[in-house]
Amino acid sequence: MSGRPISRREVSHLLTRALFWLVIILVALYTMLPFAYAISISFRTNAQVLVTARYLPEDPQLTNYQNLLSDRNFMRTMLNSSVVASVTVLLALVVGSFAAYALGRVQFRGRMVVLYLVLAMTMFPQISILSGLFAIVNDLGIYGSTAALMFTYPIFTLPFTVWVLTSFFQGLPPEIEQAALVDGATPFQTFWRILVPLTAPALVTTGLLAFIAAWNEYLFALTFTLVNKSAQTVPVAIANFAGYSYEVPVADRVAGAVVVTVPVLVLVLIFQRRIIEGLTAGAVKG
Amino acid sequence: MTLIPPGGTRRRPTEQEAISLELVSGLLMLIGFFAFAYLFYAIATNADIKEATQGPEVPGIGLNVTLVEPDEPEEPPYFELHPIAGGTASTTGIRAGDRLTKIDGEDATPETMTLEQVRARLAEADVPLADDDFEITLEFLRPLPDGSLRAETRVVPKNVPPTTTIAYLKSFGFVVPLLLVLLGIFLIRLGTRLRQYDVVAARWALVALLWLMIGLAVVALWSFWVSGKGGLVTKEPFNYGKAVRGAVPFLVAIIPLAIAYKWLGTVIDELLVGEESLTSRNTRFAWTLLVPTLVVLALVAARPLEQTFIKSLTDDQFGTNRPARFVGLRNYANLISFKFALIECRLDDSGECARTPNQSIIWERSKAEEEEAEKLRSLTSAERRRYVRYQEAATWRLPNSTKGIRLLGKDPTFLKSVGNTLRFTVSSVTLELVLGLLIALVVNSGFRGRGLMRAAMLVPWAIPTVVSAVLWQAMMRPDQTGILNKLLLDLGLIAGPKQWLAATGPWMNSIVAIDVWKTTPFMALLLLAGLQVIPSDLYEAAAVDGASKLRQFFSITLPLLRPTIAVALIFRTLDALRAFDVFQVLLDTTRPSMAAYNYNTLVLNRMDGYASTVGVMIFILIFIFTVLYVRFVRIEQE
Repeated sequence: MSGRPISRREVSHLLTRALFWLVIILVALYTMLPFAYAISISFRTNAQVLVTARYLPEDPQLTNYQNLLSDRNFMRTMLNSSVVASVTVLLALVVGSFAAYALGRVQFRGRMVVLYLVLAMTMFPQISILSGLFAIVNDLGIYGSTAALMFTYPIFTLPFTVWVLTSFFQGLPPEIEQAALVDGATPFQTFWRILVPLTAPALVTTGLLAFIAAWNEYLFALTFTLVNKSAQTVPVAIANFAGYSYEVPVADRVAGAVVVTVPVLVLVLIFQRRIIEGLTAGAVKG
Repeated sequence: MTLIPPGGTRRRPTEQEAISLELVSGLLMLIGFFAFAYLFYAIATNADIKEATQGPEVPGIGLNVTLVEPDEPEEPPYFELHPIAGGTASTTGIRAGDRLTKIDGEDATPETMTLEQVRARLAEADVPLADDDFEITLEFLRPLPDGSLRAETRVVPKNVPPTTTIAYLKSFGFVVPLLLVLLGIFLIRLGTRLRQYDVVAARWALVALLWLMIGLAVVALWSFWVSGKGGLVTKEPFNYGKAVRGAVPFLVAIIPLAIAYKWLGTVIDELLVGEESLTSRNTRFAWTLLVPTLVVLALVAARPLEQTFIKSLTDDQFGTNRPARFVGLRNYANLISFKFALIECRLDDSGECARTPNQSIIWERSKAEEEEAEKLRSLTSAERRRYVRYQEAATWRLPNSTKGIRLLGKDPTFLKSVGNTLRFTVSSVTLELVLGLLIALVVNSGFRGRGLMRAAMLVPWAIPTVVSAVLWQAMMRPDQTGILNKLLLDLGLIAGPKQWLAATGPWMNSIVAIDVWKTTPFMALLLLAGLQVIPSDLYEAAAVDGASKLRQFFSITLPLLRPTIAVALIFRTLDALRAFDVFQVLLDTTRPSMAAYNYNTLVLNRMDGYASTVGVMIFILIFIFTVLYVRFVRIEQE
């Protein structure tokens, strides 16, 4: 150290710097620690978890994961969730991009009415129509099946998809259709061959968000599949997990939670830039 | 641009073409008529409506009779009748939990009769149990291993009120019939216009045929699934033979439509003339694309919404064949009736409020509660069955006094759920906004590893809410085995382990903490996106003028961030108001959120009509809130 006294300015600068990194580290710990702890718990046996709390497992074991992966019921719920979420996304993207193209690129009477209807739907509290949906699902004879979920999930994925894709279509230059029209393309060809490929990034983003929403959904899944174990999705299975012993299932349940979260987490981390763009697009434009 | 009126042909149609066109137009009209006919057929054969008009067929049912010790010590024990789950029990006029208060006019309480005497009394034939519409006769009685009795009963409808309208509304409503009628009119008109060689009609007909075919394919898929699957209880394997038989009629019905579509497509180019305006063409194209979205939203949103509103006016119960009755606004009145009462606490020797061993204050009964008990005593048992009394929802002690205020409600759990949800919403959203803003500001001041930080912030958002609830439940275990207790004890922040989620513990704060953990990063990301669009030269100019960082924050950042904050707040508040997962997984049914209460009344209590009322109330509350919020934000912006 040189003998030069440190000026007050430098001290305050250093302090700010230190404080800044402290906040960064705290935030990182705060967001990451609970999940890290979940992984730690999942490597202990249930009996160990019920005796003491430990930050790190005493002798890491894979029993919980082995149990889960050999549990056909659990794997079944993973399959159910994947199928339900994929079908929901596919439906939302196909049906939603049709509507979004009409709303975003075509001038017609009644456009604003439909547009506001869709906007109102995105704010709609789905829980309040639970009993009505219940009756319809019952009438259609699909209560207690994954079909009930594929039928009801569009209520939250579809309006959102239509809304995001509409604003995306509106952002494309208007010359595209004119050029296509000159080349003799029909409106549907223009839409399917030219505009849909252009919207691929938006489709990926909305598709991902819809997938995560469907994968994480709990209220409808619980209401419509509680009676039928083989139709349940993972959130319902995790919440009602009974474990593999007569003890309170803590470690096995958390291990299940980790397994459920990993696919979503991988998706999110791969596409994080896209997802952040998609999540924040609506908010910044106001 | 001159518009040539549509209609007309390029050349004289051949005889074959003329016949084919007649056939296509006939097909369209036939489908149009079929839409009407189907509606009438469905109404005529609907079981609910038939039952409502002709009276229900109610076979015998089984009941469990159980002796119950009441919660409040002053009340006498009573007997409960529980319909036996499943089977014919669904046709009961008695609800689960109904109290057996009188037998043959005599009070049936343990004071007046022993269980043996009740057994003897009930064993006698022709003991009428009161109900508004049904006479229930106990036929015989069987003791069960758990000490309760099973009574086999015969239920005879006494007077069935006219519920045909309600039965109709419940089964059909307005949305679906309206859609069917519109479709019918549209197709019939299309058919007549097509016969005049109208090219526009022909193009619309192509659209209609296309969607009808797709619709039929979807219906075939549905029919395949519904016909093939076994019952939920019987667990039969999927029957492919039945499934195929269910789907085939719909698939066959597609064939004539496909032929008509094919033929009409060629005829438009070869035979029909007539120009169409761009507007008309655009309109047709747009509606063609909108059909699936509108149909899905009609079925999944409009129809359930309508049904929820209709059912909220009835006493419908899921899982019973008892026809729903119109009860007007009674459900609403029971749901939101509340009153406040001034209460005083029981004084101990030192003049302080007396407390129970676990430190809660012992209150004297309020005047309102006395009156309520008095009223209850004056009612006959039939009246008592219908009367919903006021019960305690919440009690607040006035500061530094022996007095308190008690909130009484006819449905205290609902009032509590509203209170819980509001408390949860206000505290979690406020905390999330403050913390989120702080995090966003820090992350926004570029540093190395910022991308990594943003990725890390997505982790809590991506974890399913249920999974985060399970995770926190493990961390918040009430004793030393919970890591949260261990951590706080190790750091010396708490004296002993805390019961984070128990009714006597800080459960609301725990729930809020979980939600804050899960959604603050999301809030921060939204605000971060808003921060990044603020031009940096504004800050440079301010720095040149010598404005401090704090000053910059308040005069540049905050005003420019306001729209983003507003949108983020609306999103988060609406989300918090419909919170369900955390409450349902972590807390018992006595501490629900509004959504969890709705779920409980519907799925656990099977009170369909009442649950609908809860749904409508949530809808109204959230709607009012949204309107106020949007208004408030807009005024602020101006």
